[in-house]
Amino acid sequence: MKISKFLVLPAALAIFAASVSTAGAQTFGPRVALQFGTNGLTSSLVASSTDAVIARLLLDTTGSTEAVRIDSLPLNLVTANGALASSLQNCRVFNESNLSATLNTSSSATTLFTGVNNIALNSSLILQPNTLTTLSFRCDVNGTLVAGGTYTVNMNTANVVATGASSGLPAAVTIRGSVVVPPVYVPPTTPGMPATGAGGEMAQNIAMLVASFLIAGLGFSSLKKRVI
Amino acid sequence: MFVRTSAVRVQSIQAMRHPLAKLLIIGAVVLALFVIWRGFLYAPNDLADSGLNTNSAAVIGSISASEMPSRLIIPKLGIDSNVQRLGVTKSGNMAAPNNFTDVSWYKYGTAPGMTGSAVMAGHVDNALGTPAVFIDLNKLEIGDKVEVVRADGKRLRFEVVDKEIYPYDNSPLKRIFNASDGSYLNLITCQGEWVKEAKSARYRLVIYTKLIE
Repeated sequence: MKISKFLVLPAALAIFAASVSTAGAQTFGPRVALQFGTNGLTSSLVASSTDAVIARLLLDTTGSTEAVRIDSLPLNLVTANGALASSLQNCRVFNESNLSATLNTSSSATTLFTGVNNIALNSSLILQPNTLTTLSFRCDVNGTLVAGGTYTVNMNTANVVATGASSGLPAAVTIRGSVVVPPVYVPPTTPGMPATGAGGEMAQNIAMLVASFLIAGLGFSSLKKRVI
Repeated sequence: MFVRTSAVRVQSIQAMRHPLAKLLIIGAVVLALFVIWRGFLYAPNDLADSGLNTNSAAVIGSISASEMPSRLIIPKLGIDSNVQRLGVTKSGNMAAPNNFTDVSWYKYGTAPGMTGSAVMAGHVDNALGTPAVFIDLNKLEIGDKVEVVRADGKRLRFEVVDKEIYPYDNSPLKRIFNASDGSYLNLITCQGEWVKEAKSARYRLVIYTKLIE
């Protein structure tokens, strides 16, 4: 059976076009997705506190064909409602699996400023393919914290430098979400007086105890009747 | 025929009564246990934010963990009590301990031994009217000694210098929480009858003590 060239040629062209378009989606090479997590950020910042978690960052290398190298984190800080960037000091990056060692150099981003803070890491962070790594960004909060102010932390894809650990090829970077640190909380230095007496509830509690004895008595008498 | 029908009816009523009686007894026991727990063991303190009021929450930067108080000892009253490190309630008051045997230290204020007013509070009675940790606080007199053991084991000694009773809604808060002319430890508890509308005792007893060593 002879197959017409008018059928073979269009079919070949269609297969070629499909393969080219798939290659365009970059199925090969290093890739990493950076996602801001929201866990652990429900508490407001407190003035004069230490080790406050400002952001959690999930680094996902699912689909990457080689390990990904990252040398710095370009965190963009946006302040609002009077918040001061300088209220956040001694900022450090940790791998959540090891909170005893900071990943950033001590000279980088110790005190934040509004805009892109390029936080250099002590040594390159090598993310193996198809792994999830959680980083946390923690700062001390000084006494200049402004009540009601908010901090937003995000990143721009263009600022993130990630490369293939072995090939050196630029990695495809995806960034998901940002994090808004809840309004700051400034505790009062002069609170109201504490409530240190509970005896006022005594009558109610004794009434409940008596009621429970009566109910129990009713139950027992009902059981007794049945036995008789 | 009638007798048999009646007997069957009585039996069926009794059969229904049996599980109902058991249910009543179980319910009564649960209620009694709840009242006993609530009365003797647990004091709800309406904290503003549990994250701000736990021992592990962020605390004042200028006070290191080792300088924080861990025990309060008042030899004259036989008190040797654990110290809870707490902040404020939703209504902005200093938080009281969540049981009747501990005392609370206001962690956003001053630490005992530092310049300023460290403040501790304890319950005078529990929710069944029996004594709590500060039941005898009013027996302290000027010159009596109070001790604080810090987390690092260091022992600080204070001496009672004043004793005052204030209305619950009209206390000199600056004097109690913000003195700056010495190292004070002020102890607070409730006094007087219960004011139903305010859900509070009518007065607060404040024992002012000053660091001696």
